[in-house]
Amino acid sequence: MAALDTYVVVTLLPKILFDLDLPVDRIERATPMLTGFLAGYIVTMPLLGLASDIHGRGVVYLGSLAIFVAGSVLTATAAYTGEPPYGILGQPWLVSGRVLQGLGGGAMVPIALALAADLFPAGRRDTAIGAVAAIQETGSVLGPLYGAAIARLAIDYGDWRAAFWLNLPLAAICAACFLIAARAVRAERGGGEGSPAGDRPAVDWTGAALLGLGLASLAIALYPDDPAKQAVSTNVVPWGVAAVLLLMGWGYRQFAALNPVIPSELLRSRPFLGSSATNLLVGAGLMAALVNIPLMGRGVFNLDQIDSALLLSRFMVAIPMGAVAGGLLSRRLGGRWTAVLGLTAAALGFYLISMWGAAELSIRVAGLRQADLELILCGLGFGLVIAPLAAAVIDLARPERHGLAASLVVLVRTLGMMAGLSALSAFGLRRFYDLFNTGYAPRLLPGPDFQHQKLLFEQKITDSLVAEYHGVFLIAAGLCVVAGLVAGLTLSARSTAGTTTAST
Amino acid sequence: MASRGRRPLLTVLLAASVAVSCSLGGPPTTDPVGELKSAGTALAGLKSGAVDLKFGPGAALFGFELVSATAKVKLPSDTDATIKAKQQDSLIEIQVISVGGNVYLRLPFIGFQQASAQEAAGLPSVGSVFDATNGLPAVLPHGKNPKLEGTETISGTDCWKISTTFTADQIAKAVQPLQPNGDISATLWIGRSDHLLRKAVLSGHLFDATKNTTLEVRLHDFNANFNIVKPI
Repeated sequence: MAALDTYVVVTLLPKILFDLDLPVDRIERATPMLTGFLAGYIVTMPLLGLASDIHGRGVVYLGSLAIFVAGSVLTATAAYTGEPPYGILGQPWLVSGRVLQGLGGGAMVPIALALAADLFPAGRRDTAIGAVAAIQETGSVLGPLYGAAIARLAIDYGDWRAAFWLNLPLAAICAACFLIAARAVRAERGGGEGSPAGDRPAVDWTGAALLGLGLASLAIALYPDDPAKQAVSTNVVPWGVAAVLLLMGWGYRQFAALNPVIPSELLRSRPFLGSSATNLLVGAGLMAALVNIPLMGRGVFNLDQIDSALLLSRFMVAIPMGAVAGGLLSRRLGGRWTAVLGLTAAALGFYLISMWGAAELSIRVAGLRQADLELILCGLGFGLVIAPLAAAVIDLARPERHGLAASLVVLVRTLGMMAGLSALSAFGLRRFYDLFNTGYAPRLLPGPDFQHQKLLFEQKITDSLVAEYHGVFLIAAGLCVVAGLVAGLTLSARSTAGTTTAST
Repeated sequence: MASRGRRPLLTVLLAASVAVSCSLGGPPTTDPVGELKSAGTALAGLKSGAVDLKFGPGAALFGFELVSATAKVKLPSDTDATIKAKQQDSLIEIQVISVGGNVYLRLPFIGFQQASAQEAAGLPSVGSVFDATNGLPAVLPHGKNPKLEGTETISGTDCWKISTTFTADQIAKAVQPLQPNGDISATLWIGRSDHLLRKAVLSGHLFDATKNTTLEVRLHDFNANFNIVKPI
């Protein structure tokens, strides 16, 4: 459910913006709807897994679910009543809802993984954890299509809001299932939840606050509050400095604290640093596709909500397929070369996508749509790198830290996605304004030439969007190339999958 | 004897009940014809005001589906208007500023462009509702068969609710960008104390001869100090 909601807004953005009374030239105001969720996700993911070890899975899971539901209600009720201007009840209300959804949703992933580990013995644990991870990935893949489909089905019953209202019954089902699972654990162990008081490590709330504030500052610094004039925030310097200081403070705490969220032995190893840097870049590149493919579908190819989601689904479906292939290839080729291969494929895919024109969807190769093949190539590439990058971190961690290490992999990738989304949106908008306002300016004014000028205006929008996306996808290709180089220089060349070792 | 004894008592009770009902006043009433005239006069006396238009389904202009429009007006002719239209699922905002006899237009993603006199004449003037010659001040007193519907509160102001009918020509001049056909039904909310029009709902063939649609007009910020300046 949380995974579905991560990207659910991607295909719903035009309708959400319309209902919030935000015009098309203020699309930058959509960015926090995604970055807000991701920031919440990043903050709680490493924090609440540990909190559930201490306070018990039930309290933390159900609490997180309640926060997620509250966030869903806020999101669904943004600008629900009254008339524009909505003020605080519009976009700020919705973004607050998305942040809460992220805070709640981010906690569910590590707790679900930990519960799987609790429920199954060592021999069967990997399968259970794998199943949870697969559900998480599948949710992410289906999110955009799910959102578009729900909005279409519920067009007379709240439209896009239905996707968020639906979380209420789903959460009730999740809570019921969780309580049943938790009872099974208690019955098996014959005891209560949580660590004994004497063994309790401290949850680093200060670190989490520093991380959260740092991410929020970063998002604000990169937010183009006046995209017609500049790419980033008008107050980029103070917010950027604040972001750097807060994130440095968070980083320092991880080294210094007795119970760091990130184990210090991981931080010192080259494969960990290399894998994290690669994952960060992969996250940023991934976001270029997740956001811009459906937007290109709407803006350039004139596809409707469902069809633009289906266009993205070619890319999304290829990711888990690539992930399975990546796991198998890692055994034969080793993590390094599998990651390099995957990132080369993703870079090539992005390069090909960067050359798309307005008539791209009509081009066919051997009976198949060329755009689909390029999206699949790119998605497969991203999928291939998942296993080697995760294994590079997990193999370095002590067995009792595997869950935490796995969540760190997702955390770093999500951090990259958030930073990538903010930076690429800022770049893309600025680029669009520059392109649109270069050369002939259509005069869309009443007169005998009006219809001709309107056509010129629409053509210029399409041309500028195509050129903007060229730039965005070329940058994404560049990110994949850099990520491939980092992976090639830092990851282990030998086969790593399934050979977890305790690190020093 | 007994009935004779009761008669003065009944008379007193009847007289008392008449007196009470007269003192409570019953439902408030006014002359709707006079009220429309007073509303026209009150609007004509304004120096500035703001107007919000909310279009019903089927309202279109230059091929765009109209959603809403707002305007700040500094009489006689300075206006800062924003028109919102829908294209596919997206909201498009068009700003029209009229200041010192010049008209400027801002479209999505483009800065302001100055319109020639000929181009400006083709642009809708949302602020025309306040125009004393052709706007609502001139049109209101000519409402046909006005009928008092009661009283309602609009944005904290007690108003008379009056229904009436205007001709297409009257509405076309008063409320732009409407292009009405046939008679237009109107429900008006007029301030009981200041006689200023607060709200109007128009219905009929507002944009073409085939589609019935509605328009909600809200007037507010009377005599506010608006600063409308040249954008370029």
